[in-house]
Amino acid sequence: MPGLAKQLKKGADLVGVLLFLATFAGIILQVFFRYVLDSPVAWSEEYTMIAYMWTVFWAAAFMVKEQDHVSFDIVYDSVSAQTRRWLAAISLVFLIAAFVLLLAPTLDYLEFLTRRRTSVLRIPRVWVFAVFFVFLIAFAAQGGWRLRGLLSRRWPDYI
Amino acid sequence: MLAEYAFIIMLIILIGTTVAGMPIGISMIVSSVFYLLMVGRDVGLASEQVLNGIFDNFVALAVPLFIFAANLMNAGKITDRLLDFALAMVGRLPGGLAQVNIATSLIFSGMSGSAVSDVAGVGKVLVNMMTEKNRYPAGFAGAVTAASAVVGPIFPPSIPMVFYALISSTSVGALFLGGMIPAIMICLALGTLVVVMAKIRGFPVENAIPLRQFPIIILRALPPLFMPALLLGGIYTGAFTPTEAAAVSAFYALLLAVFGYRTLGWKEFLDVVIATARTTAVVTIILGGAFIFNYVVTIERLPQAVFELFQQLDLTPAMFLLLLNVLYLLLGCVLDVSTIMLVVTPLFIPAAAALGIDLVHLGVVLVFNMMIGLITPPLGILLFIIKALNGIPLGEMIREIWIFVAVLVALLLLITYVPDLVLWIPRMAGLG
Repeated sequence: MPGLAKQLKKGADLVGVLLFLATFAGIILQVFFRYVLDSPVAWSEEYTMIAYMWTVFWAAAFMVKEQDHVSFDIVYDSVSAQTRRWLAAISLVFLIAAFVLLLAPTLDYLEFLTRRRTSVLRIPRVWVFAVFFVFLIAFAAQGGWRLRGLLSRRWPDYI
Repeated sequence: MLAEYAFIIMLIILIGTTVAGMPIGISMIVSSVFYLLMVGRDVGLASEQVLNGIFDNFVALAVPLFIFAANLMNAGKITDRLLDFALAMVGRLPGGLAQVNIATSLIFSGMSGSAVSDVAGVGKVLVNMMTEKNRYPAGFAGAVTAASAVVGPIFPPSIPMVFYALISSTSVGALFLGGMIPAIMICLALGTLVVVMAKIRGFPVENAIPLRQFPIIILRALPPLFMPALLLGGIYTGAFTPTEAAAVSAFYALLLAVFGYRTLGWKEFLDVVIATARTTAVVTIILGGAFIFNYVVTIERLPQAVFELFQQLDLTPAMFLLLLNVLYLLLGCVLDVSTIMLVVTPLFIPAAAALGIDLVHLGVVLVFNMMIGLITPPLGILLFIIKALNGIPLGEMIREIWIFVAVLVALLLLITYVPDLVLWIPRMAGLG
């Protein structure tokens, strides 16, 4: 299992790398077409922003641990491990609740977006934002996993 | 009943979860969901605001790209190549290596928009050089590195200025150019302070480099120096949007590190991209969270209330700016820069505009102000990073940093009350 988990993590990282480079390439191409080929293209900005959306929420879902985000850690770092355990557990309950509450309305919104297209590339907008739904599920699931750990006897591993 | 207290409850959830360690971007989304639920609005608005907020702001993408450029330069050791150049230029002044430290910070800030990457990259190398053989007290070396790193986001490009532009609808280009004179003033002031301290405390001077070596040293420094020139020139003339300028400088850094200096292999490149993708997610989610949070704040008419409060106080613009400066100096000591910029600043924009304060001027003043928070003890984040990277005890740095903080606060007041120091260059570029 650890072997498989490691492979999955590597795969997720690789997808993230490709998405980021796809975003980067979009702007470089935009500049290249305008200044080198002297024929600006209309699609580049929209394409770049789509790749950017996917980079952000893919990386947030599969590449960043919740603990790695910037946070206000003055209080959290100065309390005992036991207090920290309960602080983390309570805030995870809020996080999971909010993300689960968001699932159905987000699906509704995405469903509405199947009928909307982006202005230049004419792609159904649902494909631009669908990655956000993936992020909600992955982030809530990781939260649940960590909460379970915090409530178990091996809780120090999950702080 | 619940709806009346919804906003208060939301703030309690926001502050509670953040203090309990939840990332601020996530807690803004979480607390907004509960708010929408309590007031009986569609909870899906949260997703809608976050997604459209990001998707519709092409300028936001400049932030990860500037981070990418700085990461590439640090991994490719491009900035280290500028050390010889800085040493030749200012090494013979009293406190030579401290002067080199200040000069490289200014050059580096022309390529990066973040103070942290300055401290983590070339700052780390310089602290090592300064403390080798006990030539400088470790605390002083750390303090001068931290103090000079604050020019990073003041001299263009600048990540906090991109955030400010997003929430105040000002031009990123104008803000960038507005930071130039204040940043140069900081470097001159810090340089002068170091001269005085070096004379009193007998700091060493570096060996003068013979003049005939100058052409070769300058020639070697030209490729990395070309980058800030490209960036500033591109923005000044309007040839590049900030997002494009960020991408072009990352591309240039990539070429330099891979083909020019061959300091960046495949493995290092991959690590840089993974690290950048992670930071991209973290920073953008704070931005996304701010979109839904500010949407709620607007429903609650909070900026309006702040505006009316200031109207009742009947403040002059000068008093308003003073009040804001004091508030931000305090906030800067406890909250991180993007949070203050995206969450607190929107509250004051309408009041500032009504008082006739130029919003570009205000942006540069606020960014300058928050940079002081990064080095103010006991919580200044830059001091902690230097401690982690170079092992200098916090106490020793804190003893040395106060005088630098005092000089920076004096300069802050100067640019607050002489707006032309900020606005002159943007006006010349036709952006003011």
